[in-house]
Amino acid sequence: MKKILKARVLNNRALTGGYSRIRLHVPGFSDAAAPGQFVMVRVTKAQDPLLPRPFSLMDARDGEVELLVKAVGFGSRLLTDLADGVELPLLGPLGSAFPEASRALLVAGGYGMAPLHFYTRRRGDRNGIHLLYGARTDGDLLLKDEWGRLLPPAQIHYASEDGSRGFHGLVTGALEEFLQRDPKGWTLMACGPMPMLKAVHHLAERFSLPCHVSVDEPMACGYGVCLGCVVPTHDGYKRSCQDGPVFDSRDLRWEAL
Amino acid sequence: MTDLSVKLRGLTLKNPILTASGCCGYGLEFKEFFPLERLGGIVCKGLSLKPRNGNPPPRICETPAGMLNSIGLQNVGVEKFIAEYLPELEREKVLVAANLFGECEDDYVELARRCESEPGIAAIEMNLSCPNVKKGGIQFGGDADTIHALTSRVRQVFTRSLWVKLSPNVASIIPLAQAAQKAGADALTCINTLRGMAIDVETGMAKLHTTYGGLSGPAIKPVALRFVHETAQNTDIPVIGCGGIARAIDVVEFLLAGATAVQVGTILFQNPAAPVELIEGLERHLAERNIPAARDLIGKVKTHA
Repeated sequence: MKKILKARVLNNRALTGGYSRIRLHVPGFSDAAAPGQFVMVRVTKAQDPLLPRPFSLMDARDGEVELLVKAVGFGSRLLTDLADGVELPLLGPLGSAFPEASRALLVAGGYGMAPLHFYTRRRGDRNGIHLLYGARTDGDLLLKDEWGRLLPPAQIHYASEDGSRGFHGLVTGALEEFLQRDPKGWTLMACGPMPMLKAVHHLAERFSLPCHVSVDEPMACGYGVCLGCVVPTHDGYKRSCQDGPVFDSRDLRWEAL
Repeated sequence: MTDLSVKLRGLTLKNPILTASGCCGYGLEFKEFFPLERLGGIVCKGLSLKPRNGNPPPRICETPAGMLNSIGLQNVGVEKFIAEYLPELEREKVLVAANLFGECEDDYVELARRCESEPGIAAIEMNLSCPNVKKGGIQFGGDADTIHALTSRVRQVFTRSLWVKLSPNVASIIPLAQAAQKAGADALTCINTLRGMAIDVETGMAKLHTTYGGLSGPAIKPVALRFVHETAQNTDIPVIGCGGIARAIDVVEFLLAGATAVQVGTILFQNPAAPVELIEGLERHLAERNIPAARDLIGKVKTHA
């Protein structure tokens, strides 16, 4: 039987750009949790806000879970304000994961970085991994120290919209440049805003590369019953919580997204 | 031993907690969280003759102590439900009610006839109140004569428990409830969602693709409770209360207001194990007060003068 777990805040650390990194102790959390999967977290024990929030796992091991949260609304602000020691209900891990690939090209936009961080950390041999990571400014590019420990500098490619770090422009511009130099053998794994995912998909098509995207749709239940989080696919609407959040990008009907 | 069982005329529920249509899929997702046979019953997602895709996203948004949805009656169709889901539900030994909606009177009759031939379907619930689809039942739900005509026809082909789910988006529910009773309904489900709207102030966009959606969750509980009371006061058949139930004391309130059973919906999204917690909470509430049976609460609200 699955059950709602109790997550206790071990450490809630504010990062730059309104982000927080929240480390939770979750006794009973499955060791089988895989990069790309997510958890539903209640932000309060009261009835308002009513619904739990979905977060991709940024890390999960030894009964601990790490999330990257941006304070965008009332609910997420309650989370970023959480004091250490507070307990919240948590359900997960849920949904689909990114596949294994010997040459993985990770494309991250904003806090879409979280599951790709887990993907990289989970991998023993990181030689075949390159990260393209874009955000608005240098300050919005998070955990650069940690990325520097996970991957050698030659495998990390930052992009910033204001040009304050790395490629000047969107991460998809950096991706295009990258693929023009080194187009062969990659599997693309992308997480970020929908317009970014769409551009990544089109580049994958252009270079005939497999591509997996993690979508971030509004969700009520997270376990498949509300049908609120559907995305259009060539086989009708699919639930991003159960059939996703990681989809083969060729399965999605991008013209309808 | 506290007796939680309640009777909807000829149909006995082992306890008054049902899962509400549209909030529990076809029930099987809950198998992972608790044995389905714990439930008073499952009211499966609204079924139509043919499968339906539902509305384009965005389909949901959160609101104070509640949420708006506009799913648009996405469903697998009655045949697939009967072939693929019903047998598994029967194995789980849970009472199944099929929520049905059609685009015309004949659809409802056809659906009811199909369910009649499946003994595993203990009850049908006629959805005359989906606010999100123009042809999703609501066109039948606002007028007493239409409800009477439609319910009468369905009554002729369905011999087991027949429930009619009513809309709160009406001037008065009383004539509608009475029309359903007169046409032979066994129970009245009160209420479906309230029509509402939300706007993203940054983009100026309506948050739902369909602009308007159905409001549910604790925010609507007092409204639902009033509809249940009003309906129970003005009809002689059981009322099934629905709207914003989140805690065991909410169940008690609905029973006191006149509901014989309740349906829980939106709270399932927050906590899939909520029905079991409500059943256990209700049992505790009764035991602590030496009330021998849940049915002893039904309609026992006291009003001022």
